[in-house]
Amino acid sequence: MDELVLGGHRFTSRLVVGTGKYKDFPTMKAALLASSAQMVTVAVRRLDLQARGEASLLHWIPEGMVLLPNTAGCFTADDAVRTCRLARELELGGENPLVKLEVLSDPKTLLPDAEETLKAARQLVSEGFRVLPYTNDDPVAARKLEDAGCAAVMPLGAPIGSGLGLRNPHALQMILEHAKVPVIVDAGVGTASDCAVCMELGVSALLVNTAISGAQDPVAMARAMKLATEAGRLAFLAGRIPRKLYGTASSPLSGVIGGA
Amino acid sequence: MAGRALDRAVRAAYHRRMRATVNGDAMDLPDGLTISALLEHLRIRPERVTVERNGAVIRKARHAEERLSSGDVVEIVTFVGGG
Repeated sequence: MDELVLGGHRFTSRLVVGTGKYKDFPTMKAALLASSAQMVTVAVRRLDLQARGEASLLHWIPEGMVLLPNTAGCFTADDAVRTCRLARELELGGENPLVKLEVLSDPKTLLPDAEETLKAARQLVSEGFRVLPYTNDDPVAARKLEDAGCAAVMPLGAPIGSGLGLRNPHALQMILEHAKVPVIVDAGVGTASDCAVCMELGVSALLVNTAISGAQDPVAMARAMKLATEAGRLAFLAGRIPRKLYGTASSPLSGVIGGA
Repeated sequence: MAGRALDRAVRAAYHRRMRATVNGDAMDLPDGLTISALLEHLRIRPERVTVERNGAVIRKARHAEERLSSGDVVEIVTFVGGG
């Protein structure tokens, strides 16, 4: 069985999906099911005190899916740590809850702040969290996060919500070459082929939100990405042929009719 | 007499008010409200939320004991959709 072992959990699905920006909860639930994801991200926000009888997000997350609370919207290590502490209490989960650490630098690029991310990661690891940090596609930053005790590293393929796909496969290959923890591409995936491209390089999993929730048909895109993630993983395990500049015939060159 | 004085004191305490900030809104609340009572006052189901007071998480097990003081800054949070 080809399983992903991550922070004390075992997953057969290598597609992690977000729960943000769906037009309604029923569509979200259908997309989550179509993706076959076994872990979903959620955000921590103030309860709207005015909204009465508002439907709860958790009610619409299929049973058995592992929750991965994020620190989206945090621009400092302190805010990210504070958010994780709230998430831990909200979940009433295990002793070592998984968190997606995300400390951003500015609202326009939404690129990670490497310094604050590392600072928050160290603090959270010391408090027993299993930290999955969103990071730049920088092999040095990834190594430092791994050294800090993170359970995985999650380099971006491209900026959050950009749908640009994997912009720097070479940087990702360097991260993969050195990492001893799972490498998860978080952010940048735009369509199914992006999933396959990343998985073929040997990443352990993908985290996708906008490319599914923002698609014309989110449920169909969720299924497309499930299949592409599986296809990419299989291709990686199968081992691709080396790239060559010139042609290599598939059929025998001897015995061709009319030959000498 | 002592009984009546005590009764008055209890009533005065009950009607004493305080100002606290809850999710960014300044609120006028009964003094010494517990976290459990605050959630009840706001008609919030406790299982859905986590409460933080002055930057520190209040564990659910402590909701019935922890009391608010004037000037406290309270955050009541929940999970929402996110990526």
